[in-house]
Amino acid sequence: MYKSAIFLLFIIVSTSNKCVIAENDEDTSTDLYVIEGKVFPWENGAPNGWQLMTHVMANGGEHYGFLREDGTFIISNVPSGSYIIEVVNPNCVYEPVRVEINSKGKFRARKVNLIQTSQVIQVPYPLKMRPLTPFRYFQVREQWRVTDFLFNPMVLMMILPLLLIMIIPKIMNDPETRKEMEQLNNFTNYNMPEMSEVITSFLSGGEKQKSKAVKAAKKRQ
Amino acid sequence: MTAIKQNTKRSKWALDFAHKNKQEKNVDIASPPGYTPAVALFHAVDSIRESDSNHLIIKKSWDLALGPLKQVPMNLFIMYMAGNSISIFPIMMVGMLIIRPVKALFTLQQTFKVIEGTHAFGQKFVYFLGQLVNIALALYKCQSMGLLPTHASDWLAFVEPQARLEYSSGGFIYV
Amino acid sequence: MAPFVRSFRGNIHRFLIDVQILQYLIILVGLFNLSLCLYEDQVGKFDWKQNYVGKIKFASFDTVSAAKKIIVATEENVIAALNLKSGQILWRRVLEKGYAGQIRALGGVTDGDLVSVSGGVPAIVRAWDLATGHILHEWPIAEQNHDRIKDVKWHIKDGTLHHILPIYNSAVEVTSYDSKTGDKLKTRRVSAPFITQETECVLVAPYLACLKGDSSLAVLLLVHLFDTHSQPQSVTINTIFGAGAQGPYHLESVLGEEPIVSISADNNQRKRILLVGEVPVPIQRDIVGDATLYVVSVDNENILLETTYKNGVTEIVASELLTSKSMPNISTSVTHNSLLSPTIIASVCPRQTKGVTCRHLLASEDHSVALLQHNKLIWAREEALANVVAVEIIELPMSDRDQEIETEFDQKERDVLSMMFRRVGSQLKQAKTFLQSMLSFTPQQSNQRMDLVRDKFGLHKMIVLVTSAGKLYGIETRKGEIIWQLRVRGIRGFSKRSDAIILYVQRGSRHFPYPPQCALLAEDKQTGEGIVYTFNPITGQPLDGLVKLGYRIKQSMLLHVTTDDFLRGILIFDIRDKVHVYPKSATAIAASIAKNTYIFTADQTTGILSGYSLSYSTSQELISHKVWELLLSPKNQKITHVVSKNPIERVHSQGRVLSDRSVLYKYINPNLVTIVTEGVGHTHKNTLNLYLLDAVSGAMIFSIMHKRVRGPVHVVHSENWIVYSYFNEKSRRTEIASLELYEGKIQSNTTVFSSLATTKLPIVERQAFIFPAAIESMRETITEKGITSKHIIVALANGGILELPWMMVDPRRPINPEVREEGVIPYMPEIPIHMDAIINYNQSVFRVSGIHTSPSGLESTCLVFVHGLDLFYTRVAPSKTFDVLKEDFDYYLIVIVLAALLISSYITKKLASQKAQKQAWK
Repeated sequence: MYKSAIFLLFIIVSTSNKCVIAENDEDTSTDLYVIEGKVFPWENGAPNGWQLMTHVMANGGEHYGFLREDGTFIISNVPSGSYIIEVVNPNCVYEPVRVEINSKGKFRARKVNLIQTSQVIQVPYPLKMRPLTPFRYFQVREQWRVTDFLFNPMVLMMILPLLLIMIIPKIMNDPETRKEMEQLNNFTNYNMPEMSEVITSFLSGGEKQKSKAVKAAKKRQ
Repeated sequence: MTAIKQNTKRSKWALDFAHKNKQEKNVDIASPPGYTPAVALFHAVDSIRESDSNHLIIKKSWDLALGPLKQVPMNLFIMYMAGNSISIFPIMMVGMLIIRPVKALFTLQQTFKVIEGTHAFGQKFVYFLGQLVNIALALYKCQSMGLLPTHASDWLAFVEPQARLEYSSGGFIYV
Repeated sequence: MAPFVRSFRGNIHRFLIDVQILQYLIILVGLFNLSLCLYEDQVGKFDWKQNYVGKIKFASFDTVSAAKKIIVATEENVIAALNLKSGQILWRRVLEKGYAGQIRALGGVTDGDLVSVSGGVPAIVRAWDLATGHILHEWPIAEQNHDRIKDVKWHIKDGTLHHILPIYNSAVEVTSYDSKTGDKLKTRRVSAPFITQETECVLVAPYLACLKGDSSLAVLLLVHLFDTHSQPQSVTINTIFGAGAQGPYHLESVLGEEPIVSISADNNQRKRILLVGEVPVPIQRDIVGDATLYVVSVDNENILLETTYKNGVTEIVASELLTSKSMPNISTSVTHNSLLSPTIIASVCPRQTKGVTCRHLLASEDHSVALLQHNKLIWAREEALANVVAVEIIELPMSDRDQEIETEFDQKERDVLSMMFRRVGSQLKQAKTFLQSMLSFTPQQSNQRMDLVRDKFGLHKMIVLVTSAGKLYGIETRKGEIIWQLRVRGIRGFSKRSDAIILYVQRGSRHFPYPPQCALLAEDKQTGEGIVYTFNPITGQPLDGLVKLGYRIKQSMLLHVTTDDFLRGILIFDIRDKVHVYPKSATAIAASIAKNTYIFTADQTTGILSGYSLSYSTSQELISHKVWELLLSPKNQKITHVVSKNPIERVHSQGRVLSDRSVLYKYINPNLVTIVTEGVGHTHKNTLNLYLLDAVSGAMIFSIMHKRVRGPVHVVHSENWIVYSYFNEKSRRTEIASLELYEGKIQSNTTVFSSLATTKLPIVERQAFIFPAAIESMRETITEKGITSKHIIVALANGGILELPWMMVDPRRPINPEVREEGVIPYMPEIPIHMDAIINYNQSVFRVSGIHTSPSGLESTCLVFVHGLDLFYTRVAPSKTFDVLKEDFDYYLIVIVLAALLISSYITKKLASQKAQKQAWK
């Protein structure tokens, strides 16, 4: 637990060191700016009225921008600071962009990197928001295919032993292989006395004497 | 004493059987199943003793009694092959390992009917021991796979939730 | 070796046979193929969404465009176009939340363009395309006064936006802008030295009408806004009312195209109107005080519409404005369920071939909107649902047949004879109904709708919604149909809890023949004293009706024990710390458990938390006694959240298995409360404090402080963990932190948990994660037995609803990837948002105000209801649907496989015996 806390601390410290440069959103300038940009629809088959389904959001809903028919938008009334600009569209994923406005009104747009907040990869401003990929909300239903079934490990596991059972007796029936097997068996068995034999002989050897002794005792009686 | 009597009784006809065998040794008959000339050759040295039918029975019984013990290296091998991961095949293997000796223990009476001879008690004992060893091995395997409920965590599902003594409620004041 | 090999083969053989049997089992199981995400063909199968716009603020008929529609702007900061015929939303634009998006003016519809003014200072002017809802222009009004924004009047006419600001004691400043480009056209100052802070002014373009003077001698002053040289005209009250009218007077502008004001007098008993123009014309006719007025023009003639509502009848009386001649062909009277004290907010009366047909858009007191077209209500929208304040999901009752069975096997009497009579009786009844159905008699009148019965899995339920307008709704979960609605008049939400109304389920539907009962706790609108309103949540019938309590409510609590008729009483804690029980009959049972009952209050203004014990209670009276008090730095910190656990929650697993197979026991304290305070820290940075407090003993279990962190904060508190989100100002990102409490490796007391007995503080695990989206609301899933793993339902600002497995925010996620615990993912700073975990797919919901989760009859499934501007309902299965077959389960395949196996086994058996026979003959 301590480790985790220390690690977290480390992360926080390391990031905070770097992001001091970007920390200029606390000055008191009251000038308001306008963020501009353009949203592009998904090339093939953007539905009619996609502009209506889409809006642009700064900092998770603090400021909104709406699309004109050609996809351009402005977000007005923005004080200087740092804003994450996201395009909200239920059908396409757009990459968010961080726009920083310094107190002098200079704009800088860069890729959002939440982990390394100091890393700057600039993107052109005014913003050009292009869709990355359409949203895939749904799973694709699995269809039953013969090949899927056959290459299913379970089925393979079932079929292989079956084959083995079928083939091994065949091999065994073949006289040559059988002979070979026997030879192999003989060979391996050659030096190995049977366990039972050994025990029997060992025990019965002892027993015989014993029984003899018993018999002798009886006779004596 | 009765046991010895029985033995002698039986050895009579058993002896006959052996004689027959000896007489027809020259006749070219296929070896009986399980008969390997090599073994015969090996044992030819003490063929006098082999002629003893009693000995043969005892030997067969010993074979039976030692069966479980002989399986031990095999089982060890299977155990090794099965590995410690918990997936369907290792589980089935372990299941087999544990079920077979247990089954064998349940059918002990039937198995022991076959065992005869002077060493019957020892053989029975060895057979029983062998099965126990197999079970122990299987249990060891289970243990190493973590299948035995020997830890507190294994009984966690049966831990009842703590009964609540005090009841409380509240929040922001309304007015 | 030979026997070895043989035995091996034997082993293998036996093994394989067993394996095969097992494998068939596995294949069977495999067919169940569990799924977490939605398939495309399941769209709309378990979920539904309803869109709303909110309480109407401005409305106007669009008669200019080709497609006739109604343009509305609402209190929820929404501009929308409604279909004239059906009332459906044609397009909807949701503006910024709260003050920043507040719509201040809407206009220009009659000129074919739509201009809205919204926000605070500086306000944003947006011009919209009437037909499609695209934005055309947007510009901010720069020069504005922060403090006076409330007094600003806006007038939009002919593509010009006039910003009208009265300057006290001197003049009215009128600034005109081009509404498209934002160019400043002109600034005028019209002298009006009489305007002071108290002056009541309304805009009746092109005039500003102000009422000046005290109640006895009031003067109405009219200022022409666009003519700088003109002098204010003055009209005395006496010229309007004649002699004998008494104040206080109240000035209102009459909606419609014409510049008309209405003045009410005699304590709002009557009112008169004044036509404002070059020469103001007072109409010498008394209008009843509670009538609402609208002026509509028919064939260039102005007609006054007076709307009154009495005993459920809405009456619209039309009369010619100047002559007061009544016009019966336009006057209507209508009775409809969804009209409640309606006012006309927009009206058109176009001349058609058949004559004049008027369409009135009526906004009711309960926020519903309806379109009235000549005596007939065309459609109505329940806009109150855009502002839900309390939700409960209640099981439906059993079907009549099940109920009969239930009564038959009632546990109460065990007398053999009566049991037999009952049995025979019910048999006869069944026979009778059977005969009736055979002979096709009219079916028996059932007291419930046939489909409103409990289903096998308890998935079909009733959602009871309480809206801020004081209107209650019962919505069934299958299709989202409104089953019943109920108006409770004269109540309002508790002011200090942001107009919250408390809803308790006193009795569920499981206790037939007792009806289910819900209780509403709110304030009386006039006196502010508490009220209790009980109703049947299934039928929407009031039970005891409105009960005025006669004291103000400070806190309340639902008892966990029931009376003999299965009713759970409500403990009400009044402002003088006295405890009452509702209903009174539950006092005895409440007193019996009072020893172990505690109640706590949190005061947002003073920052004081106090705990009360009821242990001094006698069997007749409940007595509260303060046992602890805590002051949470009130100067610069404010308590923003007090989050307890869901009282119906059950925890199945009492511990967590570690990698060494030992158990870390959870610290499950049912009395644990999470308290969040936000404010400014010592170094003038936003800080956030989180406290875990035992509500019984007042013991502080844990506290943590986040520096340079601000809201919005969302807290989820369940089982032994707390998950909360906040905005990290330093790194400028949303973060989710999670805490988890453990007792340790040994449980101190395995049977009972007492807050008073435990002295050892729990072990607290904690971790924080980056969340790449803004959060609107969070809630944990809940299931009946708590076996299913927990997910967190997160409403995102972009309209998605994310199902986030708790495992992702597990504070025990190891930072060192080599330390592995089972089922724990190594730590990653950022929580990824998977697209297929968005449970509302492309059905975005906006302005989410809350999420309600409820267990279903299935342990695997949790019902989720999201409310805000839109309503969304679905169900989720956090551990997948392990207890029910998939709906597309392939029954045929399994039958075929089984049949094939049977047949093949039979055939192989035959073949095997044949083979054995053959071998025997060899």
